Amino acid sequence: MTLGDRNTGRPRFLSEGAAAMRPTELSTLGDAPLVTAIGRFSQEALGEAYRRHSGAVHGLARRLLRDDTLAEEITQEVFLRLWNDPEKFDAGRGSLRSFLLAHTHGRSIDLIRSESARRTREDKDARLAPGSGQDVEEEVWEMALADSIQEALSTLGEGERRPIELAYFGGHSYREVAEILGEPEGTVKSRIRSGLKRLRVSLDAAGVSNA
Amino acid sequence: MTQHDDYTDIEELLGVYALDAADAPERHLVEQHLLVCEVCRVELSQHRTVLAALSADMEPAPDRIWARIAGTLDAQQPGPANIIPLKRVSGITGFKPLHWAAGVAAAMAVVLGGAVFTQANQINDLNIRVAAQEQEITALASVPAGNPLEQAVTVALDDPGAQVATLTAEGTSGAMLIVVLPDGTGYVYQSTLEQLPDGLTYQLWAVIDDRVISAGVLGNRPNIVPFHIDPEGLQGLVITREVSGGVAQSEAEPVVSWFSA
Repeated sequence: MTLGDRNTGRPRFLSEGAAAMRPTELSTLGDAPLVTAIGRFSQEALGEAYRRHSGAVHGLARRLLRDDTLAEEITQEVFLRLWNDPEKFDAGRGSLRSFLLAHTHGRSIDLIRSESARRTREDKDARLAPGSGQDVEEEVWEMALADSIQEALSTLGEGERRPIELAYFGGHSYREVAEILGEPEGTVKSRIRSGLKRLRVSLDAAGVSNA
Repeated sequence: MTQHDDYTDIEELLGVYALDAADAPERHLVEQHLLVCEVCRVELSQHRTVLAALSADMEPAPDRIWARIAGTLDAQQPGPANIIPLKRVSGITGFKPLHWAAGVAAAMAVVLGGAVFTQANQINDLNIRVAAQEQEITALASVPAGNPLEQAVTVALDDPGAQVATLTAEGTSGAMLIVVLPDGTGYVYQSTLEQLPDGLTYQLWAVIDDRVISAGVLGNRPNIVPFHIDPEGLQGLVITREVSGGVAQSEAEPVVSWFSA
């Protein structure tokens, strides 16, 4: 079943009530009622969540793992988890997108840190940029981010930007980041936090932090 | 190290925690702290919002992923698609309230597979216990400002058209408070039900026009959970204990329930 023909079907488990909303109605729902409908077994609601967020979820997993098969597995897992445990999403704690991406990132990092995936990834790093793992993150970063986000990032100094890049897109622990950059661990830890705070202010100003 | 130093150390870890860049013992430390610290929960949420923004511009995911997800859901489908209609309770409108509640409760027991729900002569006892538990729960309840969901509950409870239901059961001390607004928006906002083990969840069911419809899964330790139902014809609310993720049709006995008088 494709996303397109999914939209013409009836809900799988429940034919009545709010869970039986038409796709046009679902598209107007906010995060909390959408997840509520998912909790009531509305496959259309899950499809709507997929339509809204799968690009970001899959893109992040792909960027982190550099492996299409693994990225697709993670994407599938993230949305099935939303289906199976919708109550884990708390609308009071942030958007559905940030909830899904946090899970995507966490699971991808788990994979990266597992031995086999690490080997695959390091092989690809070596092929893409021999002798410079850091350059790969830099390259991916530059290619993938929108102008508004790059602009916000440019407000960070090198000391804050690089640790965030290496940890978030490189999948390194902050201790590894400290080693790569030759900085004390405490300094890296503080700069990541202050960098995220500064980034938030910049993204707020640019109107792009409501993801 | 002082308490203040501990707190500062944990605060410093929030950024690396959001990036999944903390070590396992540090992650554990942060997670324990987050259970009790609203300030840090808010900061973590802000960090995650920033990180989500960094991932906002991506190419669409391939359709084949959705096809696999849909295939998995189809494979999980537990039997018939539709909720089985409850057996009609004839002459409902002519019944006195207590008889009516007993009639719906008996029909619920057929669908939910339990014998729990009820004899008409238990209703008076139940009503007395409801009043006592409502008083007890109200005393326990505090609805702090700040969290949007908590604020939403506060607003809902102030709505003159809101209906507050206290779900209880014979022979147990646990209860659950639910508020339902005229537009069908509802909140589970207080619960003294025991925490369920991992792998289990409480599930909320609405009895509407003699039919039982899932209103959502609540997790294994419900706090504030929003839901939406069709408010027209709402006759009752029932909680069951189910496997994590919930079920389309329950065969479990009700844990607690409420029926409109």
